[in-house]
Amino acid sequence: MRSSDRIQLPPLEPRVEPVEVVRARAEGRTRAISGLLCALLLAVGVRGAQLCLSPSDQTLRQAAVQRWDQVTLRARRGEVLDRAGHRLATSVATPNVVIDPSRVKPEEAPELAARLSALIDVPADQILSKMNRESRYQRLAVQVHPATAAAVEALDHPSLWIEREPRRYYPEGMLASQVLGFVDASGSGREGLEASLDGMLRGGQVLLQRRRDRHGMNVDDPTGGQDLAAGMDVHLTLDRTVQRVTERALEGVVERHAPKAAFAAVIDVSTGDILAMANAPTFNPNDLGDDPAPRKNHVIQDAIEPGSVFKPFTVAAAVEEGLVKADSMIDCEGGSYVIGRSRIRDDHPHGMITIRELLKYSSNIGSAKLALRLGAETFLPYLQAFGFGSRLGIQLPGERSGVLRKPQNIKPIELATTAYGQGVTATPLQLAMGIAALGNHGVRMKPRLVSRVEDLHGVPEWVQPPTRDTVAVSPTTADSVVEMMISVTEDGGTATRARVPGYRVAGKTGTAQKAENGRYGEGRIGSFVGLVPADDPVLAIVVSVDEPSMGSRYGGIVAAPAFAEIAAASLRHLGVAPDPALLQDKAYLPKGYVPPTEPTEEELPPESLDAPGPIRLAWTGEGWTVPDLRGRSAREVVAALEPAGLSLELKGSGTVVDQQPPAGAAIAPGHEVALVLR
Amino acid sequence: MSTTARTSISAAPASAPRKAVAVRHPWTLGFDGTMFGIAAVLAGFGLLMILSASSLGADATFGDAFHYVTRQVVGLCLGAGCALVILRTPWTWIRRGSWPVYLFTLALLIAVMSPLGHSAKGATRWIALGPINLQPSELSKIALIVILADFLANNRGRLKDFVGVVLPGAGLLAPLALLVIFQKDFGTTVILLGLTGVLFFVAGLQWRYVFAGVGGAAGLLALLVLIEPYRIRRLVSFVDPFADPDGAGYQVVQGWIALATGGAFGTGLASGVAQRGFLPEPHTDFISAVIGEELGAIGFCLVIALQIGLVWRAATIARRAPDLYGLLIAIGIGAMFGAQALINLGVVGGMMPAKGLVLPFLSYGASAAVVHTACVGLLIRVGMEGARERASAPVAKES
Repeated sequence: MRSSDRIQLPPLEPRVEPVEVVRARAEGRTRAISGLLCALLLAVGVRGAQLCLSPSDQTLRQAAVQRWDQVTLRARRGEVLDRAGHRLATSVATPNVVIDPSRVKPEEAPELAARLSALIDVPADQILSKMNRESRYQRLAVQVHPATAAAVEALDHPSLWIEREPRRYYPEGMLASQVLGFVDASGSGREGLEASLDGMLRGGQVLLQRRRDRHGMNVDDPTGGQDLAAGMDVHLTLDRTVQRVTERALEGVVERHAPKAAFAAVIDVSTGDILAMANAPTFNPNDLGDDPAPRKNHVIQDAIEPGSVFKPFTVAAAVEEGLVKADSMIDCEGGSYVIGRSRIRDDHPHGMITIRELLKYSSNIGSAKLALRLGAETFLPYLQAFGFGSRLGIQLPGERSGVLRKPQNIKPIELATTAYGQGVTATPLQLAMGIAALGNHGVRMKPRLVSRVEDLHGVPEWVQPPTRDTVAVSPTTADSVVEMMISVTEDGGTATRARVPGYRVAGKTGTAQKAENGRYGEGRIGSFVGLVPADDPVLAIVVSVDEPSMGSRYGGIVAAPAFAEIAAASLRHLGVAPDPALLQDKAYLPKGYVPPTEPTEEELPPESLDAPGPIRLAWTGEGWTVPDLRGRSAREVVAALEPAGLSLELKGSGTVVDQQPPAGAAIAPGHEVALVLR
Repeated sequence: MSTTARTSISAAPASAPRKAVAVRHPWTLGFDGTMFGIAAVLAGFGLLMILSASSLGADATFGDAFHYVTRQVVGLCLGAGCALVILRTPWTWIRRGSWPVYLFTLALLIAVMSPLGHSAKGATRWIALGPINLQPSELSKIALIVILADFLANNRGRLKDFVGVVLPGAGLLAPLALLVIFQKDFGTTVILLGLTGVLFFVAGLQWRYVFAGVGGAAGLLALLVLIEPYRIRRLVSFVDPFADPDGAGYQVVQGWIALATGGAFGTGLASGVAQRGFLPEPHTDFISAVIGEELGAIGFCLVIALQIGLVWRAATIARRAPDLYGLLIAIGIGAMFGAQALINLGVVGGMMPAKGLVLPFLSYGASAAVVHTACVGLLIRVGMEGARERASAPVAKES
């Protein structure tokens, strides 16, 4: 050892200290140094623990400001379902393709852009230009198909991710769109039920404490908890099939007569349930256009002069008051009659006719005479009892009340014209409900559109049973007026085209002049209201055609065939048996009617018969019970499962052939269902 | 135990009795398991926390979540290789290696200024060697320790000779310190000055020089701070980081937020938010803040305990060293670990201005990992040499 070489020398110089002294001091000072360092480290440790356990307010404030953010998430919006539980409006988490350009390496950009372009159908140069932006968030495509989203995720590139945005989706497209309304970009219901029941559908807002990183991105997945305040599901009385049939019939009217609009409603007579409420032209709430005109729900938002379809109510009042019976004679004055300084006319002049014939031939003069004999004080309350002059109270926005004059200030001529539907206005729904009251033995039901509102787990929040509103006339009177109305569709009546094979129809046509600026103009509204089967009415149907521009303008020609079409298909759908005797009665069959070799359902869209109904998920309290998805289309599955918070892995295309987990298994929201389609 | 140590020292120069009781000891005799254990736990804990703190960022930047962990493992393995060589090398050869290590380090520090130099974060401190960047300033600390230990052991007992011994010793520091300062590596400069002080102090420097040295160092620090204005801003920021929370105080504020978030037990591994863009280099200088956020005060205190253990065990080895050279090596390494930890944690605690020193075995740094692991090997080697000494000598005494 080198040190020993020198140390071995005797300490000639007094400056060289002895080894033992040096060693002892070195060990002592080692102790001191290490002790000092350890003490200081301990102090730092205490400081660190203090910073952990009792941080200053300033630190906590700063932490809250930069790391936390409050976001208000919209809870899942409730669904709207028809009477059988078919979804009419639902909420789907639709995928958007998003890229973080900062994570794309320049050399891989062109290839990535090309691959993405093939997937999301966006030009590659457009993708490239987005990739080159100084940004961390660029939307490449919005509302892509779930399969596309899956393909993008399969690319597994760190810059790409799928963002899911809840979006209102109407699985039936244009079906009942004026009734349903739509939801705007901010998630608020606009028009229709979406607007009027927004409070229930929307549900609460979920206030989330969102942790964010330096770039403002979420640290945690904030999608959970949205079910806590989920909106309510709204069950309607609408019947998807009846609604479809009605809309198709109106489409036919539009094709044949090119009107400004055509609208119809189908009412279940005994409950007041609205089975269909349709307007044409219509719109697709999934793809809103700019034109607001088709969004109008004429059935409740148009108060029009009903015209002759009003006459049954006049007759009912007269019969109820014991003034006349079906076979009582009335003088129709040869088609011209003077009241005060005004003259009223009949299109087809008659002399002495029965009350039944008054309806059959639609005599204005006869009706006016009945009203005058009843007097305003007696007659007008009947009209009020039938529901005219005030809102019916349906859960839809913009319902009109119509105008019915008060008994104390009505002039005789006005009373006379009111008897045949002029100088009075009513919504088509009021007409339908009034006619339904006649079909329901004089009891007017409240129109029912929403039957119940349920929460996420199917617990009813609000239930509306069928409700009687008023008794308009006695059963005897009502039944006798319905019996009289049958004559309208019999030979010689104004609505032979309203006949439905196998069912007797009681109805009334109407062709009202449209009042413009206080004067009657050229425009006409052709209407038909009817009850089928007349012997024991099930359905009350109103069809109105606003300003038909091709062919006829008469209600018996423009509206009655649509009525027949709706009635025939709806009755069969509802399982109301036809009268075999009537099917053989050549006199009552429509012109050119060929009896079907076997009763088919060709009137109905085929899917409505074969479809096994919507996919229903049963909530077990902790999770969903997985339904049998085999045979379902990807679209159906996505529409059913995504709103339930289940993620989907789809392989292949076509219909589901295999599923994991299997049917009947329980699955909690947030977990994945893997499906193989072929 | 100090008695034994002293006996062994007094016996050391007498070579004859040692030969008389020459016994063949296994080469692992005196292997300090405690030292090894502390270092191993620290290194493992470090890897875990580096993974936890860096995986997200590494995945984003390199597409490889294990980018930093892999490099740290490579560093630890290289260091372990060095340690193994040190353990099997005769003690005299190690001591003879002092000058070559010193000169090699100087050469590397000069090479940093050559085109080989690699810049990062506004400072040129690295030498690019293919995929690995070597940081010679990490090597400079151990180079200083070995050269000064050798020099001071050679001049044992003569530290009163200011001109003949103290000045030349300080002269050994000068080239290293100047080259490191040139790289603007202020933290390492402080460590080098501190280590020089510690080694002189332990070797027996007179108190008046100690006081003079401390005073001089303080004056020098003040001067350096005045020369570089950015240091003033750092200085101000540690007094009250919230005075400039978006500028000079930014890192410290973020560190405090992380610690405050951690609380007593932390948020769990890899769940810290500070590393998500808030802390610029969460896996290096501010790894303790990440530990505090994810493992809470418990985790932070564990870090302190392990670092104290490292220093205390190094001091124990020093006191049992076979000779003054070994003693100085051991306390030098212990002081280096302790000072680095102190400064690193002091910065996080807001008790010192920001420096950029790694927390031994916990911060990411491949060069530091090599050097620190090799240093632990050297410590164990010193401990083994002391044990060998005691195993030979006391037998003669007791008989």
